[in-house]
Amino acid sequence: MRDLTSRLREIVRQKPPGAQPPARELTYVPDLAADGSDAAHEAASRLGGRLHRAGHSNCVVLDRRWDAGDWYGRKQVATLELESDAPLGLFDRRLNLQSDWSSRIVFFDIETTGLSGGAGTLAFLAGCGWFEDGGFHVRQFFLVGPAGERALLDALTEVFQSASLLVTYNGRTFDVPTMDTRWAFHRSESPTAVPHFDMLPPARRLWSDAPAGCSLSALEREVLGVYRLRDVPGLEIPSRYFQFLRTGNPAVVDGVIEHNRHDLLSLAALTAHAVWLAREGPDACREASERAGLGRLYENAGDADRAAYAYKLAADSGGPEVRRTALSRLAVLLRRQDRHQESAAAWQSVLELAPRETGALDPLDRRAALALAIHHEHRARNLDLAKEYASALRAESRGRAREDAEYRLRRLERKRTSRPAGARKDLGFRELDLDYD
Amino acid sequence: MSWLPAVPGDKEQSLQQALSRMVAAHEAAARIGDDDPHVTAVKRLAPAPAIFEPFPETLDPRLQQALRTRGIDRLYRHQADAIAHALAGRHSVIVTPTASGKTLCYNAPVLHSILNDPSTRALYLFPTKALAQDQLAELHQLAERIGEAGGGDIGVFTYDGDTPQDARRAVRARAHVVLSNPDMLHSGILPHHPRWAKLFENLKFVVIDELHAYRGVFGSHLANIIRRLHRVCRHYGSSPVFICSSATIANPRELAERLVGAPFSLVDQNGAPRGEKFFLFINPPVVNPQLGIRKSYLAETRRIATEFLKRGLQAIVFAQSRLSTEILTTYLKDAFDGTPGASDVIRGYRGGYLPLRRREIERGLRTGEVRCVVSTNALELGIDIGALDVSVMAGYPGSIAATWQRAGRAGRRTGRSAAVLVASSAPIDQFVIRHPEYFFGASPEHALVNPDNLHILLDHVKCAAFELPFTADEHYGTVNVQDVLTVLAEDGFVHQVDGQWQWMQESYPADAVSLRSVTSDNFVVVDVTDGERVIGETDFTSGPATLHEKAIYIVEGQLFQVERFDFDGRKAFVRQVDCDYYTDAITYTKVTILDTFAGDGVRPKAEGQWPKESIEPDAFGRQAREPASDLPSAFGHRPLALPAAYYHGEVHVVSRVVGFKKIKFYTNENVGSGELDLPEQQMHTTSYWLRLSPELMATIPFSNADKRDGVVGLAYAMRNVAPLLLMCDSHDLGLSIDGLPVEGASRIGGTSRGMAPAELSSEPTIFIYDNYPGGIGFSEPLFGLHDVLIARTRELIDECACESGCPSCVGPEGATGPLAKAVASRLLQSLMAARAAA
Repeated sequence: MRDLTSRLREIVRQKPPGAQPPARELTYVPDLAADGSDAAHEAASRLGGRLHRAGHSNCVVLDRRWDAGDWYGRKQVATLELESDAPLGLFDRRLNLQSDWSSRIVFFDIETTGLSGGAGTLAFLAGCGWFEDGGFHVRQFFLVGPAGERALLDALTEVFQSASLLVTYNGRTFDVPTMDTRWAFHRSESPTAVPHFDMLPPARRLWSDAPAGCSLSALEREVLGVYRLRDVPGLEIPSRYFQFLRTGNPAVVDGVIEHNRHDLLSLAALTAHAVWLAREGPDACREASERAGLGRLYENAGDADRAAYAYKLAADSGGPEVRRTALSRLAVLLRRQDRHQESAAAWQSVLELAPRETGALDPLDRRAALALAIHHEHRARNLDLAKEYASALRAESRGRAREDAEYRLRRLERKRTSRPAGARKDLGFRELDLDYD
Repeated sequence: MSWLPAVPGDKEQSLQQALSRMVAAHEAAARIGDDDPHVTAVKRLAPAPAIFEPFPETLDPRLQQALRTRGIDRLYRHQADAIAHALAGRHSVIVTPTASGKTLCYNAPVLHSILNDPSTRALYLFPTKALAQDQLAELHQLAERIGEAGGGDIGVFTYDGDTPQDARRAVRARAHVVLSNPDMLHSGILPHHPRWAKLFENLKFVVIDELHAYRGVFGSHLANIIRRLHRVCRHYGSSPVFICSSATIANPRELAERLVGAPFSLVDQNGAPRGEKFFLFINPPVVNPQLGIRKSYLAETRRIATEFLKRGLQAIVFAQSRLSTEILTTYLKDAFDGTPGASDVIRGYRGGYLPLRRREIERGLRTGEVRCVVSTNALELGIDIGALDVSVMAGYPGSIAATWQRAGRAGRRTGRSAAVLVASSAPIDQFVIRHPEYFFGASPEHALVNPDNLHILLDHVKCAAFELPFTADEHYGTVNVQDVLTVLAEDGFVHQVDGQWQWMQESYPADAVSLRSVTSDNFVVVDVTDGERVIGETDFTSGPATLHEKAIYIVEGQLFQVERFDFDGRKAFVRQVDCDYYTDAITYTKVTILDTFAGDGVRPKAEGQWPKESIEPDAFGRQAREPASDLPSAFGHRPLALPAAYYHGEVHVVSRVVGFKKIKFYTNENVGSGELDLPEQQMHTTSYWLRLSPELMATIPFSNADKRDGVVGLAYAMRNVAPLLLMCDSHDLGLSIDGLPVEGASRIGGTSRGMAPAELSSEPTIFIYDNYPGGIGFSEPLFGLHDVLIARTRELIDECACESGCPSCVGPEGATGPLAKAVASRLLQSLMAARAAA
C-alpha cells in the first residue's frame, strides 16, 4: 500500500496512476523556531524601517517623504495639497454634510494576497499618505508574516483615529471593506468609520474616454504625465509577497512597497488635479472629452448651468464622437429645462455628426431619432417629420423597440388621416414617450 | 372530463375501490397457493393515536401564546423530548416520519432561547434551497405571532445562492435565524466568516434537517464542512448545540455523531397520530416463462397509476432514473391524451429542470391542480407538496429507508392512504417483492459517510486553511493533517510561517469544490427550436451519456433531439422533434487495480502442507492469500486449497461513451444505433474483488464457454445482492469482470456494452466498486461481508423459479447462456463448501 504522502501528492497533482511523481524537493527550510520577531527585525532593517509592536505581534513601519519642491509629473508636490475650501462636495455630495473634513486628509491604499476577498485574503501592506509642512509624507505598514497582523491593525487604527477624511481609489468597494474584514477577523472594532472620499467614481465621470481606461496607473500617465520606471505590475503583487514569505528576501517586495507609495502620491495628485479642474471650469481643460466629463460632474452635482456650458464647449471643440456624446447629454439637460427647441437642435446635430459610411444607426443615433420623433409628434406637431424618424427607427431596431416604433407609426398614421396636424390638442401620449429621458 | 374527475367525491371511498381489486387478487392467489402471485403483499398499517405532553413550564410564555394562536396547545411526546434535550444543551437527533411536526422540535428551543437572550443566533441547514424556502414561510409566521405576543422582532432569513447581493448585508446584520444549505455554508459563509462575526460569536444552535440525505459523498462533504464550522466557532468562542432531524434509518445517532463529531441523544418515540395506510407489493406477471421475462414494470406502473388517477385520487409516481421518469411521464400523458388539460395535470419532476418549473409543479401539487407527478428521488426529501393519496413506486427504490420515505409522500395524520411498490425484473426487486417479510421486518439501512476520503478531505483542508491558518499542532479528522499540509506546501498551496500554515494562493479554494458531484461543472441544454432558450442542465459526469449528438432529450414528455454537443463549451443545442423512440447511451468501462488494502482467502482446515503463497502484508498487517500456480489439479476428490481469494483496495476506472441505441417507446424494440467518439472520464475509487482460482475453475465440469457464462451470471447476481447488504443505491456500485465491463447501468449514465469479456482470464476476477471518485466506503464493508454476500447470492440463484437463468438471478438467458445458472450455482457451492471446511 502506498503511503499517505504519495497518495496525497497524487490527488493534489491530479496525475494519472503510474505517472512518475514529480521529483520536487523543498527549496527552502521551513523556519519552525522563529517567533517572528528576529525575522521582523531583519526585514525592517533591510527595508529601511522600524518595528511596531502590539503584544507579541510585530509589523514593519516605513516612513518616506516627498519634499515640497519635488516634482511629480507636471506639478510640484507643494501644489498638490488640498485647501480647506476645495469643492470636494462637487464630486461626492455626502461630503457637503461633513464639516472640517480637511484638517487631516489621509490617502489610503492597500496591497493584498488576492482580489477575491474572504477570510484568507491578507492585506500585507497598508499605505497612508498625508501632507505635512508642504511635503507629502507616506507611512506604510508591512507584514513580515501573518502573525504581524495585530500590530498592523493597531498601528493603522492610530492613523485612522487622527484622520478627518480618507481618500482612496476604489476604496469603497475594496480597500475599506477588506480592512473591515481583517478587524472583524481579529474580533476588534473597525476604526474605518471616518468620512471617506473615493476618487474612482468622479474619475470615471471625468475621464471616461481615457484610452487606457480609468485605472490609477493609466490616468497618472494620461492626466498627470507621470511615467514610472520599473514599476511592479499589479498582477504580480500577490505572488511576489508569497515569494517573500517563502524566501524571507525583502528584495522581492521592495518594488511592491515602492508601487504602493507611488500610488498614494498619484492619488493625491489626481485628486488635486480634479479639484483644480472643477474650480477653473471647462476653459481650463486640455481636451474636449475632459470638458464633457466636467459637464457630467457638474450635472451630477446638480449645477445644470455650468454643466450645459461645459457640454457646449465640448461640443464645439472635440472630434465627432466626443461632440456627439456632449450634444446628447446637452440635449437631455435642455429638455429637462423645458428648452425643447434647443434640445431638438442638439439631437439634430448628433445625427448630422454621425459617421455615414455604413448608413446604419448606432445606439446614439437611435436615441436621437426617438427623441426627434417624440419632439415632432408632440411638440412641433410636424407629423411628416415625426413619421420619417419613426420609420428610420423601425428599420433599425429589433424586439421591443421595434414594436414601439411600429406602434408609433400606426398612431402617426391615424393622426395624419383623421385630422390636419395640430388641429386639436394632442392626447396621444403613451407611456413610452413619458419614460423617455 | 370522464377520465380525470376534477373534484373527487369521497377520496376514502375512491381509494377503497381502487384497492379492493388488488386486495382481492392477493387473497385469491393466497387461497390457491399461487407461487408467483401478481399481488405479493397487502399490508395494513394501523392508524395510531397521538401521545401528548404539556408545554414545559419553563418554555417562554410568549412562545406558548404564539403556538396557541396557531392551534397548538400541547406537544407530541417526541417534541417535548427534543425540546428538553436542546434546552439542556445536549446534541440530539430526532427520528420522525413525515408530517409529525418535526420542525417544532427545533423551532421551539431556538425561539425560546432568542426570547431569553436576543443576541442568540441559530443556523439551519437544509439539503436544498427549496426546503429552506419551505421552512422560511412557517418560521416567519411563528416569529410574527411571537412579535404580536410581545416578543419583539425576530429576524428570520434564508441565505443562499438566490439571495440578492444587496440583501446579504441586511441578513448578516439582522438575522437571528439563518436558513441556508451546506453549499452556501461552504462557499459563501465560512470563507467570509469575519463578516458573520456576530453570528458565530452568538451561535447557540445548528439545525440539520433531513439528516439522512447526508450519506455517501454528500455526507462526507458535510462532515468536513462541520469540522470547518467547529474551527470557526472556536475562533469566535462559541460552541453550538446541534439539533438534527432524520427520516427512519438504522443508525441516525451514529450518522449524526459521524457528521458532527460529538455524542448525540436519540429521540425516536413518535407521539404524532397516523392515518391508516395500505402498502401493496405488485409483481408484473411473467409473459415468457422460458426466458423468465415479465411484463414491463413501467407499463404495469402506468396501469396502476391510471387506476388511481381515474378515480380522482392525487398520486406521486417514483421512477428509478431520469430517463424512466421521462418515459413514464410520456406514457401517463399519453394515457390521458385528449382529456382537456391533461398535459398540465400530469407532470414530470427531476434534477435538471429549471427552478421556476419545479416551483410551479410543487405549487400545483399543493393546490391540487397537478393530479399526478412522476418524479425521481428529487421529491423524496421533505419538500412541501401537500398530502397526496397514493405513492406508486416503479421499481424498488434500492433501500428500505428510501422506500419508506417515498411511501411517506402519501398519507396524512388522519384518513386513508396507499403506497404501491411495482417490482422490476432486477434481482433486488424480485428478492424484495417475493420476500415481503424481509422488507417489513428488517431495519432500514445504515447511512455511511467517509469524511476521511482523501479527495474530499484534501479539498476541505484547503478551504479550512484559507478560513483560519492551521497551527503547527492542530488536528483535523483522523488523518494527520500536518502531513496533508506538508504535501499542500510542496505544491505551493500553503506555507508554514510564524508557527502556522498560511494560505498561499490568490484564489478562493471553496469556489473549486462542489459538494454535489465531483466536478462543479455542468452542461446547459439550449432549445433552438424558436430562438435560443435554456431548458435544463445536466451534471458534468452524465452529460456525454445524455446529451451526445442525436440523443433524445426529454423534458416532461416533450422530446428534443440534440443537434450539437459542445463539450468544451459545456452546452448541448437541442430542437423539438416528434418521434417514437428514445436513446440510451452505450458506455465502455475499464478497471485496473492500483493498490490492495487487504485480502483473505478460503482455505481448508489443517491443510498446512498446501503451499500458501501470499501477497505482501498490507497496511492492516494482514496477509492476503493467493493460490499458488503449481497446485496439482484437483478434480473434487479432496477439498480445494484456495478456491478463491477476495480483496479490497484501490482501483482506477476509465469510462467512455462509445455509442447509443434507439429504443422504441412501449415495445422497447431496438430500432437503431450509432457510434460516438467522446472524451473519456477517469476516477480512482475503492473496490471489492473476488478472484476465482484456476483450480476452482478446473474442477467445474463444463466447457470454457459455459464457464464464462457462469462467471458472468455469478457477477450479475452478486452485484445485485450487494446493495441489499450495504445501505446503498444500486447505482452506487459498479461491476466489472477481469477489468472489463458487464452489462448494466454505468456511473456516467447509459448502459455498459455487451456481456464482455468474451473469454475469461485464467483467474477470473469479479470487481464490485464504489461508483464515486475516491470511494465512499462501500468496499471495505463488502469485503467484511464476503461470506454473507456469497450465501445470499446462492439463495437468490437457487431459489429462483426460472429454468436456466432470468433477469432476476443470473441475467436473462439470451444474454448469458443456457448453463449460466447451473455453473454459477456450482461455483457458489464450491466456494461455500471450502469456506465451511475452513
